[in-house]
Amino acid sequence: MKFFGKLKIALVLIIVLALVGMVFIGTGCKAKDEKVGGTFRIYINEPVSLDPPNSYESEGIQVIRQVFEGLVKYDTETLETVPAVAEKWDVSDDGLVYTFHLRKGVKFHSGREVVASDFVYSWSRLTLQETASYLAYHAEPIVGYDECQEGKADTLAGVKALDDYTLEVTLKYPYGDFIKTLGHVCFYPVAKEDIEEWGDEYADHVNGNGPFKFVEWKHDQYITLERNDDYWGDKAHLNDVKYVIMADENTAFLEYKAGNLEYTSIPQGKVKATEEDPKLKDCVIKKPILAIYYYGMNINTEPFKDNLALREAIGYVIDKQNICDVVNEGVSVPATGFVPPGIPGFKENASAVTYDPEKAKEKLAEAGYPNGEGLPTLKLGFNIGSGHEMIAEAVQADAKEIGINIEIEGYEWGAMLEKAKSGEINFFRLGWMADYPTMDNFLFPLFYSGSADNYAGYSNPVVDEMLLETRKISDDEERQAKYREVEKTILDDCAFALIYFYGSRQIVQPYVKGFYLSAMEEYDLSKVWLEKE
Amino acid sequence: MLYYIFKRVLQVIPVLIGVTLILFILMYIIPEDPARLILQKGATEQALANLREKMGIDKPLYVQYWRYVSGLAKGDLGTSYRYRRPVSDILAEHYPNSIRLALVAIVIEVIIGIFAGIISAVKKYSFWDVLVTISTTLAVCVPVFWLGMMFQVVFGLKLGWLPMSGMGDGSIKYYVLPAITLASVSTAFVARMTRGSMLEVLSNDYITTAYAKGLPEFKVITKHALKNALIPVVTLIGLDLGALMGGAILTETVFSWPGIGRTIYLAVLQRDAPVVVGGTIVLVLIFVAMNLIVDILYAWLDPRIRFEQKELNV
Repeated sequence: MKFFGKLKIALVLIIVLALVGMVFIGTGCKAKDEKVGGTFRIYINEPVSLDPPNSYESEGIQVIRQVFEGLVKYDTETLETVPAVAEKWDVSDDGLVYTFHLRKGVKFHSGREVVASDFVYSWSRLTLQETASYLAYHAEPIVGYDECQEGKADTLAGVKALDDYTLEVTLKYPYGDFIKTLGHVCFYPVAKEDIEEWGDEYADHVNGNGPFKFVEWKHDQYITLERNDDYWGDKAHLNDVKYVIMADENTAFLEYKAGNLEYTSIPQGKVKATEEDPKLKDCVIKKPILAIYYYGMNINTEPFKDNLALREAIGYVIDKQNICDVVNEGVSVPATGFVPPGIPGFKENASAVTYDPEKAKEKLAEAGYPNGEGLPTLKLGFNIGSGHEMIAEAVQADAKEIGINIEIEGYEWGAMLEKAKSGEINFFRLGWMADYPTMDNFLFPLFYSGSADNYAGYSNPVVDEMLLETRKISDDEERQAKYREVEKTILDDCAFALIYFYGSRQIVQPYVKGFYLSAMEEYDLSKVWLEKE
Repeated sequence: MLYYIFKRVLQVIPVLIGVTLILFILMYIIPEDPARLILQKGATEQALANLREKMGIDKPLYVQYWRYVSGLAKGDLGTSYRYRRPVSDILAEHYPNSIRLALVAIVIEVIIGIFAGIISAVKKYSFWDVLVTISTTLAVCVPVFWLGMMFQVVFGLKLGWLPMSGMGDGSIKYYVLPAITLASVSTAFVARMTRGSMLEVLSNDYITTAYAKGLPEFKVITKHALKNALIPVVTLIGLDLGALMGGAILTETVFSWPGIGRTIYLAVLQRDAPVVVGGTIVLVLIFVAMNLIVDILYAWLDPRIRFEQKELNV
């Protein structure tokens, strides 16, 4: 009896142990199979605003991208435009009228459904004079934009809600890339009742419709978001997102090393060391982004006027690779055209002008200044800060090698743009970052004569005509091919010395999974999860 | 005394008018359009005009100044150009953080600075004196940002004892590294001034008399010497509170401390005139208040000052 009693106890113990073991094994498998949440912590600077029409800088934009969603969005990997709030859309034969069919069941975080009239209200608000939005110009192709900007209308006439789920947008002119522009944050819907309730304080009470809900913005300290379980699409894996606001990227990098941040930037000057650090090197994200650094030469002023050879000489004399390697620690890549790699339709090596000091000398002689003789000292303007002076010095040294004397002058950014616009300075640093991944966004604003962003005063009637005509082409491939022709025509004028395409220098913890940094330096946190032990 | 305080408060009005006027002129003679600085893309003439109107910079300077001063009289410090938020909100978020940090730094400065200065003076030319002299020289020479970063690496990253940045939940551990960094230079100055002042006082006849009377050294130093030696030190510490708040730019940047120094500094770079002017006005008020407190403390520390005032009042 005693023996059977012990046997019973032994059997019970074995069963219990087996069950416990199964539970543990089960849990282990679960952890590996499921994408578990957690809190994702990111370093940013204090954003200017989280209100879509006023979020003009990358800090606010990266938060808003997680909280809101527009009619369309960009696939982070391909940068193709994909449907979001709009399920599908039709375009009229003349390319002027777009009819969007909205998804049912898309809700603001307050619980109310997003309907077509929300877009009418939000886009009108974007363009109204009283809003004085920093981003209104994105809506310029829409009928009624000018009237709103001038204070003559209180609704954007070209945007109409045909019913709750149908939005009609009428353009002033056919614009093949229009759908792609709608992925910009300024076109996100805001609820009228929220703006009426909070007014200028809306940025502290953001009510979006995206995969994450806004929780709190403690100014200069942090912004917190939480998963939106009512999101219409795939729910996010993360429970929360915390944007840690810091003033200094060096401090943020230390916090990352201490394991207090999941994602941050690598401070300038520390990229090489980080890449060589065995613990960190696999976590580095270094890739070109959709942004260009270049120098403009005002071809309406001396000595650049009617002297293509001189402008070419300047293009040939700059050792771009050296600037990328030495000044930028290999983060950037030499610019080979105006349109950066990653933009659909981009042409590799669009520019024939590469570093060639011998050819630069020849061109300088052809320009009428053999070995620089007779050429007045050129004044190169740059905006103070962010290492622009070091790049200007590198260009100055390169030019000196063939006899071109350059004096470098630092200005405040706004003052420099004003001087450039007025022609007071005629050789200066410029840069451009994509608003949307289109070739048009790198060509029309910078080189169309009437564009507000054409600071170099570049004006070529042929280019103007080509740009206007190309915008009208509805077929993507045909339009991109035409843009490549436009780019070549501009490059042939050599009015700009291309320097480099910017690159990102970011770092993400090894346990972060599903994270992808797009060429626009943006990410979709709804796809991210943490695989921590 | 009340009349004196009232008179000092009245003196603040011309100071404020002067400060606002000078700051306004300084902010506007810079050849840069704040609207263009913000509107970096798509800056059409219409868009710039709309933005200038929204920012209230479309009118002549005197109109803007009058509008600002009228608002100020009602307690309205204007709206930030950049953030489009009331300046009073921005200041209310940042000033308390700076004041707390500055107060902790002052406590460190007072305790360590005065103690080191006394030891150094009393034990003149001893090991302790040399130690204080070398440490204070180092504290003055070492750049604040470097010291801060070293603290972060050693105590935050390597040892993991203290947080490296931010205010966290506001607990005292978040104050330790930034407050020590912020107090480093001032502590050295306080130590040196206390030492010099103490040495001067200790050589006076009444101290010799005190010793001759048979008083113990501790009593001579604390009761007779220290009180008189502290007068210039109190002035320094009093003025330091304002300087520690407005001048803590580097410390606030390195430790990502959400304080006012960095906020004003960034506002200057961004030509955000309402934040610069509003932040500076509050800083001026703090300086004036501290001066007043220092003067009252003077009267308490030095009876002759009280007597002079009494005589004047008579």
